Amino acid sequence: MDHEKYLIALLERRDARPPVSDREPEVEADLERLNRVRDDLRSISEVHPPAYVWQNIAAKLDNRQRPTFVQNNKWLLAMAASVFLAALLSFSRLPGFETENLDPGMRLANLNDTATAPENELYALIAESQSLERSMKNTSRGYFVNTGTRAALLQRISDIDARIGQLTYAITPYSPELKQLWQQRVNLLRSMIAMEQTQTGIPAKYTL
Amino acid sequence: MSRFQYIKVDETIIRDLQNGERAALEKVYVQLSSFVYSLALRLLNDDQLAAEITQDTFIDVFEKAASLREPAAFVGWVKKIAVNLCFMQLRSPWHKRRVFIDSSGESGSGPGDFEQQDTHHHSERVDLVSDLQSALDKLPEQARVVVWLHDVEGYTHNEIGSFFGKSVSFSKTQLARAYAQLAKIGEVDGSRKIPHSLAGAS
Repeated sequence: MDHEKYLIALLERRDARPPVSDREPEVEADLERLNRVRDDLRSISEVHPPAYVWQNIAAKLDNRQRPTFVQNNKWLLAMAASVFLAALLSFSRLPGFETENLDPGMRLANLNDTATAPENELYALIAESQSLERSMKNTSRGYFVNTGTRAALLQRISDIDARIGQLTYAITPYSPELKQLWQQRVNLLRSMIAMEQTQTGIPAKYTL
Repeated sequence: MSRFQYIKVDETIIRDLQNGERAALEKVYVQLSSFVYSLALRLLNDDQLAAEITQDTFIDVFEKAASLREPAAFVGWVKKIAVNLCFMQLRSPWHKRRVFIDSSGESGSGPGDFEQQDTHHHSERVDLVSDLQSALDKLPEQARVVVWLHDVEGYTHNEIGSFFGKSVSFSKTQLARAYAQLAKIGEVDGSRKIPHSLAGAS
């Protein structure tokens, strides 16, 4: 126990401000030894954390932030997804075909000659979806009506967009499922526009 | 004294972080993660736990940065979060149980029951100072935590005693016990009477 007391006293002397020297050479030597150990401890190098630590941090923050972002931007995300996909398909597969400013009735006549009938139907649905979104945007401007039904429709559109995104990224040029999804999307947008018209009393520019 | 005190994080980055910018957190992580991880590794002596503490520290930093009033105190604040998380881990019943199981084959003492341990016995296992890191890993938990917080991170005995919920003398005793092993102070003649100049100093 004397030894422990001696060490405590030595350490107190070492850590005093300013450090206290000692007349006895043996004590000075021990103090020097303690100083060396402390310096050695401080010289132990830092260790980098494994790479997965940052990945976990990013994933956790993504999970915590995503619900709020999606909740606040659902309509924006649905619009963006639709426009992106339509643009992608239109420009990559249908050179010369433009959905902007086209009358819906004229679209099928302008489709690429090489496309099959089901593909043409799909592109027509995509174009109609775009047109409905523009109409929806005009109808809703300044008169957004938030209802549970509307939120449910948006959620369904968002789900459809997610699935469409999966199919498109899988480079599926055409599939019955893709066409069915776009058809559902068009139907939902029609329902939303009808609902908006009823609730705001403002006629849509696009006649269903 | 503390390794953290040499690090300067740009105030612009801190402001961006306070505005919730993830890119700022990434920059802070690049600058501070090795310090946080090393601190946790030394205190907990477990790389997986250290990784978890590092992860939780930076998530806390991101989520609580807006509450920091003095950007100049940022690095110290990060260190405080990391140390607090380490102590939460050290105090957890699960951790105490694990330490008890790990050490039961060696010392036969209960969890955290360092007052019962014979420092002279432990010192026999400790390598030379040149193998200090290995010796540090072999220290009993409380002694290891105290020596690292005191000698490397610059905490006072008063602060360390508070972390453990114990007295100042507890911290001093643990530091002395750690040194008894780390520096092979046993080479200093333990049977020698306390030199007159140090008598009564403790």
